[in-house]
Amino acid sequence: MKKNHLLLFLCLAGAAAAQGQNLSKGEIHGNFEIDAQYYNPDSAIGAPAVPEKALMNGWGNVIYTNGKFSAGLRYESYLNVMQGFDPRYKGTGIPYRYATYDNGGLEITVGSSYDQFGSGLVYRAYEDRGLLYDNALDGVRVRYTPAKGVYLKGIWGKQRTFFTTSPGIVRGFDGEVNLNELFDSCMAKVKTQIILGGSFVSKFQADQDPTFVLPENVGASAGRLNLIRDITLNEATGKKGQINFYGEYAYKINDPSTVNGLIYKPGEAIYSSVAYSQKGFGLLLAAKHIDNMNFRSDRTATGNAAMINYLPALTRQHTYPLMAYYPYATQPNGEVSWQAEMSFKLKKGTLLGGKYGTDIILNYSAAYGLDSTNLHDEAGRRFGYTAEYFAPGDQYFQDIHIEIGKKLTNKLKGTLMYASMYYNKNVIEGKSGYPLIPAQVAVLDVIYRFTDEIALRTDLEHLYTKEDFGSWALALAELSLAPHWFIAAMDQYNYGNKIESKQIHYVNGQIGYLRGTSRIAIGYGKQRAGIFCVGGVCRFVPASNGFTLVITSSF
Amino acid sequence: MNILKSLVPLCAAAALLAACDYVSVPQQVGGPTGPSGGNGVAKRVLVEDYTGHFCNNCPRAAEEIHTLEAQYDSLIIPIAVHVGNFAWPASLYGLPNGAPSNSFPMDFRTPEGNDWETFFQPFAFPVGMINRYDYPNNHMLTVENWGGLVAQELAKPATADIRISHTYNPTTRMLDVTISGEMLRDTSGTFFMKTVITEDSVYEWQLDSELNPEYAPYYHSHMLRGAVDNPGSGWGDTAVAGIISAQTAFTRTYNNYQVNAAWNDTHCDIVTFIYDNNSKQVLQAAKKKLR
Repeated sequence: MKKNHLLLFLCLAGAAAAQGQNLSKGEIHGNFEIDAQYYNPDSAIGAPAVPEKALMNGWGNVIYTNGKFSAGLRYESYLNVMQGFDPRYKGTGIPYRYATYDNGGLEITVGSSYDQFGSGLVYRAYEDRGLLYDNALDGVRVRYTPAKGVYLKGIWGKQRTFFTTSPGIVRGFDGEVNLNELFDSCMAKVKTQIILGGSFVSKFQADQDPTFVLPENVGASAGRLNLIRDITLNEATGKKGQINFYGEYAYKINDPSTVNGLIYKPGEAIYSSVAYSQKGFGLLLAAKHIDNMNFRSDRTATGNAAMINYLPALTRQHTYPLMAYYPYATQPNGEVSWQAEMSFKLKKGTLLGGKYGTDIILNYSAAYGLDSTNLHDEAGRRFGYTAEYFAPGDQYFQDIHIEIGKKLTNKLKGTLMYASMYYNKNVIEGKSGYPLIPAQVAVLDVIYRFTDEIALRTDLEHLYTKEDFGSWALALAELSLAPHWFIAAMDQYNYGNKIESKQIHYVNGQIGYLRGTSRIAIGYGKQRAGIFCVGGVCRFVPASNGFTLVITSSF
Repeated sequence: MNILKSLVPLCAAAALLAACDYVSVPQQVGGPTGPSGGNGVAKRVLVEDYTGHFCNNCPRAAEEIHTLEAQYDSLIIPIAVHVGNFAWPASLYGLPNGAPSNSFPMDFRTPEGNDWETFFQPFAFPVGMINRYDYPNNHMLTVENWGGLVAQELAKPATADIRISHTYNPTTRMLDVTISGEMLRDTSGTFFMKTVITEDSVYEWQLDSELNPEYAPYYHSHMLRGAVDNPGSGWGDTAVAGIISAQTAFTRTYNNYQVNAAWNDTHCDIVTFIYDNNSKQVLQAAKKKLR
């Protein structure tokens, strides 16, 4: 298989040369990363023995571009895959390879592709290396602009699942029209940009079930509207703001699957947001209703495998460890959620703003289950339940967050954060018997720049809860010795654990070297178990103890 | 705008739009309706838990099985299959720090379980199968997915029935067992049946991540001990094959099976199940106390 991929790449490159593309004008770029860890069993923190002793994830991208032609591949190696990642990533191979030709308004890609229709409610193929999430479509993608302001996309293929493809065939079409561009002769003076879009995605998977009639062709459609308007706030200064409204509705026909308990209820999703931004101020209001929108190219797949669509989480993405301790995972079977976020800058020179100004962010995110009524029709129509639009049921998640960032002197700046959270562990992690977990989290992050080359960052965090594993405290110090070195040490202390012997310090240190686009970091210590999420898609990270090595580079 | 430029993609889109299967009657026509089938036969579900005593998260899987048993009672037929490195005895795996020197001496692996491990390839521990559904695609599931698939399988009507009849002499520990049953709908293919012994409440050691220290004596539930038919093999005997009419009966008898003296026969069960040899999917299962 690897030989065939390389052969394809070379043939396409050769074809480009035959078409008169001068290979000497082409460019080759790429990047690679190696993550490795040596595991010491540590029963105190629940770190299991690893028979291989050390595990490795590695990958490398090579991309060739020459005029209208580009081709690339990614080699991946998991020998064996590190703890916390899906163990079905096993072995080595070239699961991602493509060739693209862009002839002005028509672009054709054969091989692997990533793309998105609208907000992703019916189709999103993407990858996230941190999650080891990759649902690239292996097939054909066409992007076509028949006229100014008209953007068409078509996809046809099978989704990547680990080192193979999912059994279902995915076909889709997306059209977007920017009316202002399309009718520019008569809409040139219209201040509001109007963008309409529509998508349709269908999957085919054979029905081999001896008991149920499973639909082999399942379609999902979506329509969207985007309005963008610039507002002149001050003619004299030219100060402007912008309002952006986005709304999308998606509908999916009967799609019985393992995740939804084999019900035949159609799925629906509504996503809407309004954003206002101007210099020094931003406001975002968003709401989402999801009802039975698990959409996969394998009706029996679970976890993060074979997902065709993407249901965005209306939560703030936290990067500080204790702020991110209770992350939210989107519930495709049903949820109602909303988010309000305001960011503003208190001007410098004012009483509250101080000498350098102060940045403030306020965020409110909440997610609830559907207020549903069980139909008890398992022997009949199997619709499962009914639910009203935006009617909340059980509480899943809440995050009320405030963040204040301030530069205090030329050398000193800090960020202070506080969040009040509620976390439904039973729903979000698939556990049982846990009460709703309230948690209060505070973070103080201070950076002091001694010189242009030397900076020290200290991060103090505290999570308070009486439930789950109790309260945590965290202290981190990171010394940067520009341009090449950094040293970091961190301790996370579970002082609030009800079991005294589990009140453990998770200490680890890291030293790193940077040179150009390359970075090498070596670490040692304990890592607590936890959940790592990006955009509502999560993976569980088990506790571990040992050496870590990360090497990244790009060219 | 040049309409023709957009005509082809629009036609393709219209063709896709027409390609949707709306299902008005979810159940197969002609087969038994409802979970209990045309003959009032209850659908029972085989739950296989791939585990090992050095797997410190595996007690969570056993707890999930207990939860399912509390919910569905005898409709759940569990088997705990000890396989892989986590099932090695301490002489191979090594002892956890601080564990007594005489702990984890047992090797609960079986040749039958090893066959299943080799074939079905559990990708992590704990994982399991529910009626071996969706082999070879997504048959191994982590614990949080078991409940949903159990409910899904129990919602289906029974397509076969299987029963256990046996005589057991506790003095000689000799077992004679007859497995009988019938298909409940017209079908075709090759269907095998497998009969094994499981033992409950095996009191030995187990790692548990929620304990400190993690090693502790533990009651292992539903432990696979061995096969009555084709001992040493994970695969059974043909029950029915070919084009099969509803009510086609099958029966097999296994005489003079010696129950291992190390097993507590008061804690043992006879477990049998019938499966499609092509898809490996289990149609029906049954369990009966040995004594």
